[in-house]
Amino acid sequence: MKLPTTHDVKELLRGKLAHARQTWAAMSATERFVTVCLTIMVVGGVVIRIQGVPWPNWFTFDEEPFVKNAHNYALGIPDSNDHPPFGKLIISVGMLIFGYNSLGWRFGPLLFGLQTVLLAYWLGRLAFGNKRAGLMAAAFVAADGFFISYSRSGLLDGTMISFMLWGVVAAFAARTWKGVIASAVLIGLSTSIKWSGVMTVIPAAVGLLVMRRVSIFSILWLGLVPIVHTLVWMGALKLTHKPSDPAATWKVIIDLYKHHLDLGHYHNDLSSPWYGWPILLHPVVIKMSTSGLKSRYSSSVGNLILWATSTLLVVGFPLATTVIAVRTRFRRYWLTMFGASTTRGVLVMLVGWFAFMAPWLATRSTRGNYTFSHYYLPCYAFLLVMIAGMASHLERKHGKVIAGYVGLVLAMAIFFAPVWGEFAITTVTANHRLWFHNWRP
Amino acid sequence: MSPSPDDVATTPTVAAPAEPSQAEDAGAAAQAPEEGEAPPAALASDDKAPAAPVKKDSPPVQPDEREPAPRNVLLYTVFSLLCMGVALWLVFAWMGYKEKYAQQTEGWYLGSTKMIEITLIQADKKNLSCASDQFFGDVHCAYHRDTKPFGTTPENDPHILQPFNTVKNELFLAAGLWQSPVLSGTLPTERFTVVCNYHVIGVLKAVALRWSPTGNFGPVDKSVAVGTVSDCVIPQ
Repeated sequence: MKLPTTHDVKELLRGKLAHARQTWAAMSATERFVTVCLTIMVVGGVVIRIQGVPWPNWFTFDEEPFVKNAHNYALGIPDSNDHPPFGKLIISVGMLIFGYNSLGWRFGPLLFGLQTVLLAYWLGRLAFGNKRAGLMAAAFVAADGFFISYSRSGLLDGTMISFMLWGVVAAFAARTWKGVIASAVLIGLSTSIKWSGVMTVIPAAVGLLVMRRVSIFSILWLGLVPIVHTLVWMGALKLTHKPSDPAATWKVIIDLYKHHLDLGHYHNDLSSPWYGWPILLHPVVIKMSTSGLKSRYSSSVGNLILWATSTLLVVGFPLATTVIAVRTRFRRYWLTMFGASTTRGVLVMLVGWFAFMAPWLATRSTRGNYTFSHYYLPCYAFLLVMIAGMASHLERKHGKVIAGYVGLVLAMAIFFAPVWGEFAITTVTANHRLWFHNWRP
Repeated sequence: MSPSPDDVATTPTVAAPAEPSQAEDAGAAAQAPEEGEAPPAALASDDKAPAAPVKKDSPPVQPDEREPAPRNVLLYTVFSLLCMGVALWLVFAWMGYKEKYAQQTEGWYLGSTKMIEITLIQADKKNLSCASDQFFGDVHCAYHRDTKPFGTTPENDPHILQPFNTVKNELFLAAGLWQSPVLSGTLPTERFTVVCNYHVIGVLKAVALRWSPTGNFGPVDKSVAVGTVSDCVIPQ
């Protein structure tokens, strides 16, 4: 294999630049406006994730158990946390690079938080078959506080989402059984951060079926997910000098499973039931620090325009699809609006949403109300990609409407940025954004 | 938007036949191709499918224009992750964050002076109290061990101890906070923090604490540093 020369790289970049100019020249004024808004969201989202991320230099929210156990891995001491090991191993890599400090333990989640923006692009592009959907998906994820706040803290959820999206992207991109195996490995890693990651298998399998690039039997390779998960766990046990044979590993997993079943007996003021997540009943301020008369907040309240749209669509889209499925004479009008390909992409995203809601609906009898709003993070990721796919499709015929919508999303992001990105603000200023008592720390 | 030159180059020139029953369906997908062949996302391009008979008076079906999926997506994502990791490392190294945010390792020991940051509200003058018979020179709690008051309050006596937590959640007892010039005037109405020099003069083992004027005193199950504060400022 011949390595590219400097000349080749220059030529490639020149070609890309020329193509970008060509694309820009071909756009209407409305499309240009939308493109500028989306670019601001992506760049702003990246900057807001990185700036001041190490502050405060002490533990916030649930960081302490994850970070201390991540530190344990670096020291070869057993992990006492109640989640699988991979997310903590990622945190420990950050601490190996930067040391045992707030930058060290937030580096891994930040890196994968940024990767999530990129993966949203790929998922949007692959699921809806156009780059515009990808750009919109990346921009929406970049400009949403739910994802920003989890990129800025040493927690597991942001990293889990990143591997989840990666697994689904791999499924959509798979052309052979090797691609399906790559998807299974990534989903196995997601599951090894938090068990709920295993639900990614469902949208991945549906994605493989929809794309129809691999044989239907190749989907069986997704059965590797539990094997990857067990191997990761065995490696982690070995690292901490604990018995790491399959039987001992299985026992650790079963004990932890029983512990999770028992969590319904606990009470936590930050918990919220599943039906409260789509209506922002109790988003959590996951980082807060006060210095002098000003405080810094990183609230997980989402971008309200995107949130409202996603919740309305979760209800409205399946209903509309059911109607056109039953009354076929409506199908033509529906397809005039969205087209079958976009509809398929949307339905896959809804499957992803439901796959990650289902465990909390099913375990309500044992978990009770001991569930938290961040369980909705993977569901919301699918919904944002779904909105992006629909918006990119509608933009072709209703450019001005979409331009207005994207402009509103950007405006909302700018308004909420201070309480997502830990700007130093007074309590009064924060309360202008954190409207309800349940939204405040 | 015009498709990229790369995309054009990879777009299959032959469209897959749509199934007759799905001919009206603009998104009708073609049969799955062999593994490793051209991307069916493009095959599913409905604008390339044979035109289906359209009824009169029915609105035109909007074609789905799927761009062909690129190859090596996973390689791109792995490469971008590595690039972002290196870029972040360079940014943080350049900004000197490692040194700036390195964990302070200084301990609390007798005779030491430590800079502390405390979160307060106005009502903490009255809210916070401790109960102990122990004296450290003139410094003592506002209440005896049996919770009978000594008769003076922290608001007007700089020798009365009160419990506080630092912003890092470290518990300590301090006297003289409210006599600091910065806190003697009108206090902020919202929660605020002050940074002070804290001089450790002793340790209390058996002490009970109260966090509201109407609450009960609760014993603390650990040793708590005792000291005085000075040179307080409200960080701006």
